[in-house]
Amino acid sequence: MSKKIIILLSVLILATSTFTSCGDSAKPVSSKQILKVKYAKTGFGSEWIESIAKEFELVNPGVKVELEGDARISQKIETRLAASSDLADVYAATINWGILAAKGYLADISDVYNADTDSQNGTVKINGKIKSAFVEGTKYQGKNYALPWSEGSAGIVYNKTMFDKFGWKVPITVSELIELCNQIRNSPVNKDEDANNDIKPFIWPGQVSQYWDYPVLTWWAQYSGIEKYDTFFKYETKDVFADEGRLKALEVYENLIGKRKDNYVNGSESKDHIAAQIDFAQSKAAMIPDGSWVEKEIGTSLPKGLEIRMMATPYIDGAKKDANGKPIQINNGWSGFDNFIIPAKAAHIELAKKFLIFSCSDKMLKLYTQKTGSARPFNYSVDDITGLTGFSKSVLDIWQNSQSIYQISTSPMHVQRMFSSYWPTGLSPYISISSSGKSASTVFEEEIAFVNRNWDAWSKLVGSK
Amino acid sequence: MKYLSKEKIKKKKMSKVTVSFIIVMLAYPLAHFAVFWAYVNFNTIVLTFQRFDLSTGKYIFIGFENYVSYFKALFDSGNNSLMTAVTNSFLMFPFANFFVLPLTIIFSYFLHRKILLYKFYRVVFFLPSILSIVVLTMVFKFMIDSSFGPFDYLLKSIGLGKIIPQGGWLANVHTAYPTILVFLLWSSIGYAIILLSGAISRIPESIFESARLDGIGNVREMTSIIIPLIAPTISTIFILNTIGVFTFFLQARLLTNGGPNGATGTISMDIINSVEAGLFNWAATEGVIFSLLAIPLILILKQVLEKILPSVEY
Repeated sequence: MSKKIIILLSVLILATSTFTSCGDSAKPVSSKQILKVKYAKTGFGSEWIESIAKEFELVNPGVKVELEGDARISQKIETRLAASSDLADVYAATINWGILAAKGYLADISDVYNADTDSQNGTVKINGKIKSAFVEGTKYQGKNYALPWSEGSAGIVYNKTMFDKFGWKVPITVSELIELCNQIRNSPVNKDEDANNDIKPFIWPGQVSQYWDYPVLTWWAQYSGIEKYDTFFKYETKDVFADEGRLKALEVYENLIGKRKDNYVNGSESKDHIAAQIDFAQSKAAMIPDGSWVEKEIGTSLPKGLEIRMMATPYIDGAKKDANGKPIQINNGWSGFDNFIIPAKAAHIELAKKFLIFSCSDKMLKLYTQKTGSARPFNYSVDDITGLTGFSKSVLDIWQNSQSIYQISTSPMHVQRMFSSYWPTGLSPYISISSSGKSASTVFEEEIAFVNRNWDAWSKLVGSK
Repeated sequence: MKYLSKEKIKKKKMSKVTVSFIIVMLAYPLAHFAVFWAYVNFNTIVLTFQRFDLSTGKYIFIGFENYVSYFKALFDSGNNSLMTAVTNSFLMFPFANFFVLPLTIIFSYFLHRKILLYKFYRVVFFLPSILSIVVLTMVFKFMIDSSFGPFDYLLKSIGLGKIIPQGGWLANVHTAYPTILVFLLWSSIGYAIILLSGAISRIPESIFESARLDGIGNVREMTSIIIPLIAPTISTIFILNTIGVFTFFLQARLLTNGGPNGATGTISMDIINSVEAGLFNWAATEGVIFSLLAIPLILILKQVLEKILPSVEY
């Protein structure tokens, strides 16, 4: 008898120890329906999603939105979805949604795109309000699986206080930008004996050198035109990599940084984005390649009274012009991966869709902009938003008065990540030019040669050959 | 009197209850092993022969295509970051075993001989071993920062400023990895010293005393007494260092994130980056290739080390 009791006890202990970790038994039972939202805690912070969640609860009194921020959610999401464990109803993160949709992990949200929402012109469908590139750009086999939550503008951010103090003018063209760098280098502050007050034209984070993609991709689009730029991301032939605009854009970088080590803070090559931003906030440099999230990201490190602004990316020589002969101003929307998705196995799919539709209302879009200082890729007015900083206003001014470019692609080559999106070798062209001493044209030719050698193999691996 | 054979006694003792008890107790570890080791590893191997088909949403069999792609990328002249990662990892083998390990043995010997300020040195060696790797990398980065780091300041003040590379030690493609190796030496030496000092302290004092009476010198004491008597510990560290070739990544990730331009990448960093990018087939292929290399290498090394450094009883 005692042996039976021992066995029973053993089984009980094992079962208890195995199953205790599976449940969420500690949580109090609530009469409200819980909508779980997990989001990437990145440069834009948490305030925007907290505010939208709060508003959603106000109009849906029976719902409680449970938020969970995680800086590394983007890296974990696929394994979470595959295991169907601890699933949220909504994820807002940087997501390669195409592969997740193909694996059947995501809920079809086409009805969100077809839902009504408000706009300046009365009620419209969401697919009429969202920037057109996203309607097709979020589709897998004819159905939408992702909804963008951000359109971060990216380019060159400058220290306005410094510009005002020294009388430097914001450059309109690349030639003016190069001239401005000469002017900064030759400023009296850099000619005195005190090296501590020296100001370099640029600081940049070498550990994440892709920050240079922000202005460089814009120069490429300016030179080649948006249509040709968008064609690149279809990856239909290997010839797209030979687009001359790519070379011209790299040459701007070469002339600005690669050949001019005195144009940037010594040690930039080894800095991560936070260290570079702190140096920028400490006025060690006048400009930094960065995005609309920088002000939020620097946060309290930005000294009181120091004002920063984003400049419209200066025009490259040979930039495409509009019908009036004026160069086309381009905003690097830096979007395509920042998406809301709903897991196919989410507990409350319909409620999650309701939340997504709610987030597309004018009021919520404006709330997002107010809290992040950045836009979402929808057509809405930002003129009446209050409480914006000078930096946010400069970002939104560029956003409103430019044509945006995005890095959206539904090509199997891109979705299955056969190569790094713009520079397929996976090597940073910026480091190759500035540290390895290669010329822009060498880097450009090496990229083309690499694609030529591998294109057939990639095509075979994605099943398109 | 009837005697039962040993087998019969065993059989009799193994009643149903006992058998059930054993099964229940073994069920959990076996299930854990089956799911988290056997299944995961089997699945990893299967993944290397598959590719994901975007149009059907399923994995399909493609034979050795992933292996061919991997080796093509490894030897591709236009993308040497993968070859750099493999070279960096394998550089760890001579560095850790033929440079750091002898140095560690020498330091452990001096600590054992209680040289002047040996307690201070012990703290200096051990301290990095007990601090978080994140803190260590931060401290090291500050130390060699090109703007305010004391190391560069020191070099400049003694007239060696010219040897400081443009952008700093971690920014230059030629100096970044050697700098990480220096960090590794500084941060990991304490751990090996703990093991070796422990092994040396277990050698009976009488052996040292009789050797000294025979007029043995320091070098002879180390080579003829200490090294043979701590051979098993040396072998263990040697094997652990060799395993490190295939697992080393954290220090490089925290110091340079694999940059500049892949100059400080390693095999395991490439696997981790691939997993994070959702490139599971690539990561699995790379993992299997280097496991196939690592397992026989370590087994052979073990055999060789047992012959070169046999265990001695004392």
